[in-house]
Amino acid sequence: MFLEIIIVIILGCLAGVVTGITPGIHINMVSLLVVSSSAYLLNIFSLPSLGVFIISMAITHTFLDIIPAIFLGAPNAETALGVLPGHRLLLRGMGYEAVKLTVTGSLLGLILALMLFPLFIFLVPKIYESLQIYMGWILLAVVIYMILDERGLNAKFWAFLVFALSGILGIITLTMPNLNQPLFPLLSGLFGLGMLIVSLTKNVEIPKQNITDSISVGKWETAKSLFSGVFSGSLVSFFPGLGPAQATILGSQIAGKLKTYSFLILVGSVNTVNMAVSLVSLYTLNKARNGAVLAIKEIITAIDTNILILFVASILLASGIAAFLALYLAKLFAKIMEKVNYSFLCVSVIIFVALMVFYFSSWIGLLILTAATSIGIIPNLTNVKRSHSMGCLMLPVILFFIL
Amino acid sequence: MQEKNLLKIALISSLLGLLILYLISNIMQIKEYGAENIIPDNEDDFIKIKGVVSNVVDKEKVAVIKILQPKELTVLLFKKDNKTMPVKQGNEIEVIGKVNQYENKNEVIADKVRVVR
Repeated sequence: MFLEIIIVIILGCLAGVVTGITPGIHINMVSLLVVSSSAYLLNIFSLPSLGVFIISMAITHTFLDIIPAIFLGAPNAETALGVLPGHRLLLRGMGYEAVKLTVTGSLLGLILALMLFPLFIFLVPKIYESLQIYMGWILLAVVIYMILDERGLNAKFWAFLVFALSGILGIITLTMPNLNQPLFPLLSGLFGLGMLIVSLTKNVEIPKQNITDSISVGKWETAKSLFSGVFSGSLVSFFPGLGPAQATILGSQIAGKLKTYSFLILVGSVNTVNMAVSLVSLYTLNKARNGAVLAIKEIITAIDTNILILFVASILLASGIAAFLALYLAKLFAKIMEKVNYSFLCVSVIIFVALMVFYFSSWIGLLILTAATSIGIIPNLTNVKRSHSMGCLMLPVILFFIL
Repeated sequence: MQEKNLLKIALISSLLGLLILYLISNIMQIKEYGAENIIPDNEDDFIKIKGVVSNVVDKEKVAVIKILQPKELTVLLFKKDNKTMPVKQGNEIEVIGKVNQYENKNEVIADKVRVVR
């Protein structure tokens, strides 16, 4: 069994690399594929092994998915807020360093979260019901604070407008019937294509990417990012409708003013911690809060302590492998970026994303992409925080909890 | 954090994971039994057992398989979708399931049945 587990962890990590670096392909799709093929796969692997494959893939994905977000400007829900700070570093020739910062957040945040697992397992059943009542109001308070935090009445107005427009678009998109992969056009437009179009108009050129080890974040700044990332990433993993995007906003408010480097550590830690700690929801509440954990629940109907320990150990091994892979692939991407004309790359990514959106979501998806891109350009032009565009997910969730 | 320190932490995490995996996989390993070794204390234990099929009664919702191990043992397989059993007399099969006591006799309620040959 030990050898079988090692093999599935390696296969899971490889699958996570593919899903992580390919925009538009999400672990939920592969997890669903595993569930539908489980009858055949159980002739080859045991039940726990299939669960280990999914969790290894999911954890690796959270380490790697920042790479297309930073180098290609093609984020997903989990990395959307990391695009702008990551892109800033890319424009300074430090794309690799940006990835290294998120890997730092992912690895250290994950280790910290795993150490806190016994505490989570003890606390979650006790506080879940009472916290759920206040969750909507907490998020509303965070949003109001973020808007009021903008300097000047003009900026506050634009921040509110971006939040409201993206929120309305989010509600329309997420409630649209028969729409496949609604998040892909929504978030690609709001956070990816908007930025790429602005880069094209400004004739941005990506400078030579340096593979350096020069960025140093103070211990206190790192600790602040990690603890707020672990706290917010864990908190939202227990509730329906919340994910790393909302956790990043919550975490950034808890941590206070974060510089670019610390923010990237936060983004990395929230993303990975959220995935790992969602296992606690499954173990204590028997509730699945994301696609990967739902797939595990479909395959392994009941998680006992032995299975949980197996998953934790698999996460430790997969995270070690994923950290190596992320740093290696980031170096590869950095070298490739030097040889590619950035304007050509931007146009290629825009066309690729548009084609993927059309493939998954047809003409409606393209319409959403266009609307989202139009809204996504506003923060660039008005100098308000891009995070207000997260209204696309925050507003539906706030209304879900409050109404 | 410097890259070399990050890689050191990644290596330690991997090794720790490997160690825990080795220990937990030994605990979780389903033990292979012979029919004569199953004792009443094994009730509710998950076991693995191989044997040659001596008789199959294939009903709508359950298949009752008798295997020779060489001692005869009854295996019950509750079917999820009423399909005909692919197991025939003479097949060697591997069964993973839970031990059950019925009328003072051991039987196995199968989770998984695999035809070896």
